[in-house]
Amino acid sequence: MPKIQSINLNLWYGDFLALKDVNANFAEKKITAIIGPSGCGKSTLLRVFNRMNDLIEGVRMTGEVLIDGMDIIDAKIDLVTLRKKVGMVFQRPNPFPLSIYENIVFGLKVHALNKDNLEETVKQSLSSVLLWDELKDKLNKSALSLSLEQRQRLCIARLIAVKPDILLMDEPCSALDPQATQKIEELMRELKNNYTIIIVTHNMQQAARVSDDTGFMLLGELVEFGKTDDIFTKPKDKRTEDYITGRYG
Amino acid sequence: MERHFDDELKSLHAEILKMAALAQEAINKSVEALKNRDKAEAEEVIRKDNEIDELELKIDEKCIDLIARHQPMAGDLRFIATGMKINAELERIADLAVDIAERVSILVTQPVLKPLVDIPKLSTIAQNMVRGSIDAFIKKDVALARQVVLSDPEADKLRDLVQDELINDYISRDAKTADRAVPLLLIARHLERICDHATNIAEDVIYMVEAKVVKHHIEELE
Repeated sequence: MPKIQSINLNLWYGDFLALKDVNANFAEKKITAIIGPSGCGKSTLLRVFNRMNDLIEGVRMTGEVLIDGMDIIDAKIDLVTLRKKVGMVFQRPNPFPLSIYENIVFGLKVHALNKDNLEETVKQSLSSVLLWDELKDKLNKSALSLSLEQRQRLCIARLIAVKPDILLMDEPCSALDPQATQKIEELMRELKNNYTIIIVTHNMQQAARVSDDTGFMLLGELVEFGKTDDIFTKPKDKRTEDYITGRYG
Repeated sequence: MERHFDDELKSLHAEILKMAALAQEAINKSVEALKNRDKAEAEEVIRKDNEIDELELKIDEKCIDLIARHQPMAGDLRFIATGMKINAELERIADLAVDIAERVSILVTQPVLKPLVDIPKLSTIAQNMVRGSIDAFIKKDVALARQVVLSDPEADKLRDLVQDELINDYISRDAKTADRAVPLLLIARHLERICDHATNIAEDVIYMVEAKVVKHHIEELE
């Protein structure tokens, strides 16, 4: 069974139809990339999966989005539980102006999770983003003293501490240089052994490098969805071909 | 939207066509040299091979450069990948034309063993297959590429016929004919190998146009 299923999903911002009848299955413990030009709806789709769009006034959705078979569009869903299960990483790393240690345990406090063994949780979370060896002696230092790439890793570690199933990444490398980008991509490959990852990216080479599946969106429509190998070598839809070969526009 | 990259792809296309023209010229001349027992023409084929080798390197370099600078995707990627493969096939075709020319240079110094019947037929098939595969590339014509692939077994059959005749009717009966029969036998093999390379080009064209791999899966063509 797919981890996430989007069935006939439509989303409006007021009168504007931003997602048009989106149907897709997102596989468990795989990386799925969503690509498309600015304003195509890819970040909107990503934010559906943890209901972040609810923060925007006038948003309305129809259709179904099932995570592990449960419809998360249902008004009765507990958003705090949903967002613990479905974590999000943003374009610019946004650690809290607290110590590295406090950043990691912050989520545990918010979600009122078991606070025993905090040291162990911090160690495990930082290890899973390959930061433990670098930072184990600096846990009380401010998170703002870290490099951009380390901050982004720390933000991922902060999510991992609350044990999510799904990581949503919205342009996670757009503020990083090529070397830092490569490190985050390596980390994503490690993380997919344990998490389902969906990444929105403008960088098609990045989508081609890291993802197992790719979806191409245009004007709110999911034009094509399939194996990354196929999308980048033999797309079926001419609009996909035009976009990935730079002929769109 | 017209891209600067399109100009570079057009220029690569033109270089591959130049390579194809040189390879075709090499086969045609080596076949003519064989038919007319013309040593000068055979030597010209051998001499011109350097130009083809240099062009092969230039095209390879251009393809790698385009991949490195543009990170092509989809149809562009298939075109460049196919271009690289076709380039190598054409260079091998030209090498085989040189091999034929070298055998001709030996044959013209000896008396005629027999009138040539099946070798000219095989050379016509080889020339047609190479021309067909290149036309298919130029026109992105999958039907023509399929025709080329499907004509390869005929070339294999003719090569076997030539081989059987030379071995059974000449070499086995009179070992002294081997000096003249073996070069002819090798020429038949070279021509058949040219057909194999034309087949490869045609298969590459099908991949380029339809993203479909038919190599080693001839049943896909039926």
